[in-house]
Formats: sequence, C-alpha cells, structure tokens
Amino acid sequence: MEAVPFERAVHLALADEQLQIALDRGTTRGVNARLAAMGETTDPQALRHQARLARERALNRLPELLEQLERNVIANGGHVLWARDADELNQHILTICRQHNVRHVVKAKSMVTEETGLNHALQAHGIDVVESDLGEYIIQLAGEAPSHIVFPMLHKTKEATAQLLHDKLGMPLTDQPEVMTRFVRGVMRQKYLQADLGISGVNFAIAETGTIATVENEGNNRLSTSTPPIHVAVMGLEKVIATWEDYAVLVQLLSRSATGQRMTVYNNLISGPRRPDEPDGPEAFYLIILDNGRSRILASEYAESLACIRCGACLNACPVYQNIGGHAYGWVYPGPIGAIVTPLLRGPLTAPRLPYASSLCGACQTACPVEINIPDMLLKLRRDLVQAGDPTLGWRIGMRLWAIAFRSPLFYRLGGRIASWLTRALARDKGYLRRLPPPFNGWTDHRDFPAFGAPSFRARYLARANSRSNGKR
Amino acid sequence: MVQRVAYFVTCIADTVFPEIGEAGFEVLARAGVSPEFPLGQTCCGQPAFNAGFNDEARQVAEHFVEVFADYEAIVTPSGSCAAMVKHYYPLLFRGHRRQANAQRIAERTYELTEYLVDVLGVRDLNAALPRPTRAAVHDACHGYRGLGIARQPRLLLSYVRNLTLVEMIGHDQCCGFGGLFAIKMSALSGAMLRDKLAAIQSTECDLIITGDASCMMHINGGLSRVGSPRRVVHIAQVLAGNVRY
Amino acid sequence: MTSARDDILRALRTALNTQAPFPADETPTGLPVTRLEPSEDLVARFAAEVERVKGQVHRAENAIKALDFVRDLLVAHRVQRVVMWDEAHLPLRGLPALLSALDIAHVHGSSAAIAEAEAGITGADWALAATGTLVLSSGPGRPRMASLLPPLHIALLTEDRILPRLEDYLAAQRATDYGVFHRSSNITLITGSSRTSDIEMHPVFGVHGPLELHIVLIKNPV
Repeated sequence: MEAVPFERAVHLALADEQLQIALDRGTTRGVNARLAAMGETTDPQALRHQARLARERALNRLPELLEQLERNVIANGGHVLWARDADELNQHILTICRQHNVRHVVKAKSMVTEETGLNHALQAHGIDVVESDLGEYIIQLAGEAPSHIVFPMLHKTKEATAQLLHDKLGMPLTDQPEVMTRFVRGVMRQKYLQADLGISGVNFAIAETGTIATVENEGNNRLSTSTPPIHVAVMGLEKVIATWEDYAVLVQLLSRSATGQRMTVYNNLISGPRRPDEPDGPEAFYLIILDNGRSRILASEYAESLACIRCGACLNACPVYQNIGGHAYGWVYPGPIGAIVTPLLRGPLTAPRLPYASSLCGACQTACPVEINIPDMLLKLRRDLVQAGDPTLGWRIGMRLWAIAFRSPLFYRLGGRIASWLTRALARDKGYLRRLPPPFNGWTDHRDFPAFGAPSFRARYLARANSRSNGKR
Repeated sequence: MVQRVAYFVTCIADTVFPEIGEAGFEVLARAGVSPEFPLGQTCCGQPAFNAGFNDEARQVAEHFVEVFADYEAIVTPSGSCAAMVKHYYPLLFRGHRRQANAQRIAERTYELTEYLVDVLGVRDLNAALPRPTRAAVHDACHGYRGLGIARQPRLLLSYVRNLTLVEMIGHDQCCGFGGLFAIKMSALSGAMLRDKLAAIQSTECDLIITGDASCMMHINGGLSRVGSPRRVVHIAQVLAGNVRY
Repeated sequence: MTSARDDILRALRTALNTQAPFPADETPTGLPVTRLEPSEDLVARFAAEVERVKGQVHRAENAIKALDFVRDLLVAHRVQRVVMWDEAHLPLRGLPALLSALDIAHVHGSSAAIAEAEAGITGADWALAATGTLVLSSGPGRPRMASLLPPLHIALLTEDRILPRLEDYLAAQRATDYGVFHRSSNITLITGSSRTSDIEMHPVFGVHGPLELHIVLIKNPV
C-alpha cells in the first residue's frame, strides 16, 4: 500500500537539499510562532486543558451531538447526508453534481476530501475541480500532494513555483511572490464566478445552532462558499462540538497553534443556505458527515486521536518531520498525528514503519493544543504490530532471548561480561568501534560505538564491599 | 527522614559506563543517603517495551519489581528508566497479579536529580570542576518531558565551582537516540544527531552535561565520528567531582 | 436495509456503550484566551490591534469627519464603482449623495457585476478589541460580497459597538438565544486583510479577498 517504501522515502528526503532548506525555514517559523502566540495567552496550560475537555465532551456525546447538529442544519434550510466510507462520500457529491448539472467545482481546503480521493472521483466523471487555496492550487497544477496540513507547499521554492505558473498558465517569469499571487488571484476570480458548486471542509461544527465554522487567511473559503449556487461542506464526524464556549477556546488555540495568529483573517460561521431575504450566498447547502473508520477508532483505545483539531503543531515540533517533510509519510496526514491516524484509518499493516519512525521524544505531545498523548499511542501501535506478527523472525527471536537474559541476574551478568570483553577487544586502544556487525551496523553508519568499561559497576561495588569487610577484620 | 533507599544503576551504567554508575552512587552518599545496591538487579525492560514487545518487557519488569520490592525509594541516574517505571509499569501490569507491587514501585522511583532536589532538599554537593569551564545542559527527553526534570539539574549545577552554565539553543531538542530507533531508523537517527551536533557546535561551551547515559553515548559517538574534541558527560560525574574532559 | 445514518449512529452508540472513552467530565471554566486588562481602553486597544494586522483605522470625531475619510479613500484609490450595504444598515448617513457627487456608481446585482467594483463599503455588527476583529453578518441589504470581492474594504463602525473579546460576543449571542445564527446564513469575523504565506513563507496581501482594510471609527454622537 505504501507507494514508496518508508526507508527509501526517508533517504530521498534527507538527500533533497531544497527540501531540507524549506523544512528548516518552515518548521522553525511554525514552532516560534506557536510559542509566541501561546505564550501571550492568559494561561497556556490551563487553556490547553480547557480545549482538551471541550474535545472530550464532544467525543463522549458524539451521537447526540451529531443528531442535534443535523436537526439544526435542517432547520436552517440545509441538507445533511451521511457517508459510511470514502466511496459513499464521493458518490453523494457525484449525485448532487448530477442533480444540479454541475460542470465546474471550486474547492476550499479539506483534508477529508483528500482522504476520500474526491478530486479524482469527480474528474473521472468529467467534472472540473479547482483548488482555490493558493498553496493547494499550485500543487494541484504540479500534480503533487500537500506536504503539510497547514502549509501544503512547504516543500516548494518560489523559483519552482514561478516556473510552474509560467509553464502551465503562461505567467511571465518573476521571483516576486506578490506578482505570482496577483496572477493567481486573477485566474481564480474567473473560477469563483463560473463555478456551479463550492466544496469546503469544516474546522468545527457547532451542534447547538447547526453552524459550521471554517478558518482561513486568503478569503478563498469565503468565496468558494458564497459565489457558487451550491455549497457542500464535508466533515469527519469527530469535528462536531457541543457549545459556542467550546468554539471560542478551540478556534483561538487552533489559530495560535497552527500559524501563531490570535485570529485568522477570516473566521466564517455558516448556518445553512442563504435566507430568502439575503442578496447573495448559495441557494443550497449540504453537510456531509463522514465515518470512514472513525466510529471504529472511537470504540478502540485510540479514541483520543479523534480529539485532533488538525492544527499541524505536532508536525512543526517533530524532529523526524523536520528532517523528512510530509510526503515521506505516504498519505494525506503527515507528521506525528499522521503516524497514528494513517494506520488507524487504513489498517496497521498498510503503514507498518510509521509507528517506529519516532524516538518518542514527546515534543508533539507538548505542542498539541488538546494534549493528545501521541507517544503512548505510537507505543500501542508498535505493540499491535508485534501481536499481528509484523516483526521479522530474527527480531522476535532476538527479543525472546534478550528477555531470557535480562530477567536472569546470572545471564545478564554473563552477557555483560562477554559484551564488555568483545567491545574492548575490537576497539583495541581507541576506546571506540567504527564498525559494528549486522544487525547493529545501523549504529556505526552514523556514529562510533564505545568500548564498554570494565569491570562492571556491580563488580566494583562488590569489590569495595569485600575490601571494607576485609579491612574491618 | 531515614528511608531505605535502593540504587538502580541501569544496565547501561552498569556495563557500558560503570564510572557513571559509581558517580551516581557516590553522589547519593555525599548527600547523606546510605543507598543499598540489590545485587540481583538487571534492567527496567524499556528496550523491549519501546519496540512493542510487551510480554518480553513485562518478564524483565517483573524481575525488577521483585528485586526492588522492599525499598521506600528507588533512585536511578537515568530519566528514561525512571520514566519507564513511573509511567509505564502501571500500564504494563494492568490486570496482572503483580499490579499492586508494580504500582507501589512506580510511586517510589525517582531520577537522581529529582530525588536530590525535590525529596532530600539538597543543593550544594561541594563539587568542583578541575578548571574554569563553560557547560550547557542537554535535556534528555524522557526526563524533561516525561518527568518535568529541568530545574533540578540546573539548580544542582549552579553550585558546582568552576562551572559557568550556558543555555544551548535546542537544549530540549531530541538527540535522536530513541533506543532501538537508533538502529531500526538509523538514517533518521543520524539526521537528528547531525542537528544536535550543529547545535553543540554553535554553542560556546567546553562541555555538555546530560542526565541520561544513552543520550550521552549517542552524542559522543557522533562527536567522536566528526573528530570534535568536545564531549558529553553525565551530571552524576560532575556532581561527584569525577569527570575528565 | 439500513441507512448510512442509522449504521453510523448505531456504531457510535455501540462504541460508547461499554464505557465513555473519557471518564472525567469537568465543567468548563470559561477562561478567556486573549489577555485584556480590566481597565484597558477598548477603543485604543482595538485601533492598535487593527494596525498590528496591517489594517488601518481612521478615527472620526463625528459624521462629517467620517464622510471626509470615506471621500479621501475613494478619491485616493480612484474608485469608480462601489458595492455598498443599504444605508439603513450603516452608522453613517449621506453616502449615496457622496457617491453621486464623486460620480461613483453604486453597483448592485450579480457577483460578476460586483467583481468590477474597486471598493466595498459596509458597516459591522460588532468589533472585538482584543484582536482588532470586525463581526459582519449577512442579511437583507448586507451582501457578503461587499467585504469580499473588491480590493478595498471600507468598514464603518461606531465606538459603542466595540466589545472586549470573542467570548463577550458569543455571550451576547447566548443571551439572545443565538438568534443571529438562525437569521443570518453567514457571519464572518474579519481580522486584517486577505493574506497568504504559502510561497516560501513570504507574506503577501490581497490573495482572494480585499487587499486593504480601512475602518472608519466614528465616535458616538454626544
């Protein structure tokens, strides 16, 4: 299922100098922006806890809240559709397109639609889909996947961007981001005005009034959901929240954690289609609620992963992500949260390396505005993989032998003495080994290995204890 | 307060770096503790646990629980081992016949600097470095984020003579060891190590001090490989006044 | 045959039947997110925050000064076409006359027509001091496009509409049973101008929404 095996993707990423520069720039900015923005709140830790509780309350009451949300959306004049899996979601949208003779779709950012592969499904039926977010539009032109939840083209230089716009759309070459942006603005204007249908994601769905909330800086979400006659909003079922008080803390921690902003430029609160007396806005509004494995996750010990508000803070904080970027994770959700969500949504054996691609440093957990304990879930996923028989026979035997040795003081001491003697013999006078045999050669590929000290602490302790008692005699 | 205190030296400070094992023991003695050393101790089981091998981890952990059963405090010169016992033993032994014992052990286990500062109230251990030295702390992840250990080492180090403490940019950035991660995902581990070496390079200091021998082993392996004269030492060695650099 | 809705709700109920995944059910403390001193001057804070996000605030002592600011902005930006909220929803009288005097067309109708306008003039329901935010709701005589399509957005606001924070705005809505979400299909909180940092993290303004945001802040009549 992995398009590129993970280890190979890691090597490619580490060798890509442009990517390394872009990652360094992007993740450093992201971390610093978040720290500053969270640091200036009334009480960062207390607020993270409030945000966590808001998510927990919602997850504890998911079915009632979804029903309340549905009632209120319908009362506002909207329609609500439910999709058990990716295909059903895509089918719903295809049906709406057919019913309304839709040829041109304009899209604001939605991770869920990438999860279901919606764009391909629409294009296969001759429907034109344009991503309206600047970064998403550019990578759509390039035929690439986004590499970050918040900054989809983090991996792309401005030179590469200018070349792409020149090649695909005839833009005169420039190295000015302002000029490139102005050019795309002009192109997108036509798309907005021409589109038959607009699709958006949902950052939060507030059950008590049937309102969907989105956050953005560009204005493409507002436009995509205002000019076309139909608005389709797509949400994972875990995005519902109970109250407007919950919205206040969650949306502000989202902006601060994602981009370091107190508020994004536009926070949109959409409650159904235009009212009969309103001069503009879509005539029809559809909210599609997607399961695609989320109810299964809710029943599991990984329910906490559903609290995620998709801010991307864990990506920026993660030293692994900082070194390899988003594409290496192989699917829609990168970084620490991706390493959990991908195996949970697609099946653990589809991404067997991801749970191990972590030193368990905990930077992600510290950065997360809703206190998700990612390291614990990575450990559980590793345990699941072991129980599913994933590790090679060599590893399984090795671990079994290790356990036998290390729970027996005798074997432990013997093993220690042998290892000590071996390393000292191989290191000779240097004190270090430059090369270890397989399966330990991975160590010495990147660093030296020390010769063990001798005798062991235990031996020294005993020697001193004996000499003391001898001295007493 | 006279507690029966056991010293858990850790497998790495027992076999690879016995001088660290000795330093930790010496520091406790200087602080007025008479630590006991249960001779049957081996390992906390973390390597297997981190690899997802819970059964194997539990077998080794069960031995730990037996060996350290009768002590009021278990002190270890390792944040990662202390975190393993405190955070994960209760999970590992859930529903197990040893659950109550494991829970008790988890509540009584401390990392060395945590025990000295928070339990014993110790500050000045009358330690000194051989010559005026600028040093920076590398905050090992499990102690720092898992146990909240940051203030304690710095407090103890502030009393060490000839030592000027500076802060390294990225002092809390993972060095890339991560246990078996260093071997299983060696390219990633190597990349993270390079970032840590760059941070050390850009910090004006003669010495790096850390609370985890495994980080020390990993970073020193990198420093040695690139031919740098700088080294990482364990905080126990500094506090015991027994460090060569 | 069960519907998707039935299957999903049943799966969720089954999941939660064994045990609620998060046992502790603490009540929210309502701790506000942004720092704001109790004695802080809301107007000054609002103006400072708007400037922080690269918007501009023009403080007008009275209606005459306010009209002057609007005139100056329209002339400076060489505006020929304007999309505007109905006068009934603006805190300032005299704008239609001003537009006539300047020979500026007041555009109505389709979005395509509105897209030609160089400026949009709106009021605002409320403003939030702590973040320099405007709250605009859609409704009769209040097209969404006025604050969205043209490159210049002029927002007219009286000082008495400035609330401390987002939490206060939502509390006010709660006090009226959240009627605003039933009446209005679209409420937008606007903080600064359209922007992106997608290209090498370099900030650029006026991506899809307005390039410039000018707030004419009118002191209430004594």
